[in-house]
Amino acid sequence: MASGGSEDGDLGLQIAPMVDVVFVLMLFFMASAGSQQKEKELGIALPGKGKPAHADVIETPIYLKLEDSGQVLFNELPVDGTKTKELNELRGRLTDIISKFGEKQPVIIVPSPNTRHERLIDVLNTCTAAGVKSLSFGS
Amino acid sequence: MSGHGKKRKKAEQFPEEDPEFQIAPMIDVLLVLLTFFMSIASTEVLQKAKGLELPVAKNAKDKEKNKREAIINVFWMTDSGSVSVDGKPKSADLAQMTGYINAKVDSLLSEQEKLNFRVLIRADKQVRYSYLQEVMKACAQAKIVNITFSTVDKEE
Repeated sequence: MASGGSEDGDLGLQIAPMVDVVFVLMLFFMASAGSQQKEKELGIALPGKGKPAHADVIETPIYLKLEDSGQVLFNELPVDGTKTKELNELRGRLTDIISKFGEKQPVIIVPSPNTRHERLIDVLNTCTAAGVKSLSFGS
Repeated sequence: MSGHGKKRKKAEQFPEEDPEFQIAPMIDVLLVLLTFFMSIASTEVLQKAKGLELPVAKNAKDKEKNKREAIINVFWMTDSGSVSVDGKPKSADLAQMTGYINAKVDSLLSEQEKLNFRVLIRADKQVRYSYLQEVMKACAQAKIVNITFSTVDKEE
């Protein structure tokens, strides 16, 4: 092979095109890594057989009602808009309550039958951000 | 070529004065970077079901791995829902789903494993709560208390 290559000059490994290709591949993977969607989770605990931790303490739960329109009612008081994804007012109120009464403060979400799952997740997301640990569904 | 020859001769005379551009270490670094980005691009591949669009939640936790779980996909077609459990379609009758989850829980050996068993609900963002409630009721009938909703961290 070496003697064959000597006719047209030296056919050695071409570094420059290889570096070009590596750069392009790297840019592709860097870009795809940045725009990647990642699956995450929001958990709740359904009422089970276990005994509540503070059975003797009477706690007043907070009711978050969700209307068909997407309006959230914090103990019957409308908070935030019907379309806003970031529920800042609700988050502020929940954070206040949690800082006063601790993260065991129960929060019960009462969605109307026609509430879309997306809206429910917005509320669950806000509760998680506010540090609510005791979450359940009511009807 | 003659120019190169002169340069080389000069480099041999004064080796410390000629910091040549080193291509080999650069390629090494590039390949390491390439491998890194390739690996992170392939480890977190989102499993998607056709016709299922997960809702977005920015404050959600990272997904726990290697947990004993049943994955329920909840689809929504204009005004009715349908479910598939662990990739297998189930009929609209949710009792069948409860039976499947019960069988899966019973197949686990220890009590601890049974307690830690959870259900991951991957519901489309259009699903109405009335249907989701039925799915959760079916889980409660299978004595599952640990329910988790699946979300994504950003829009597509």
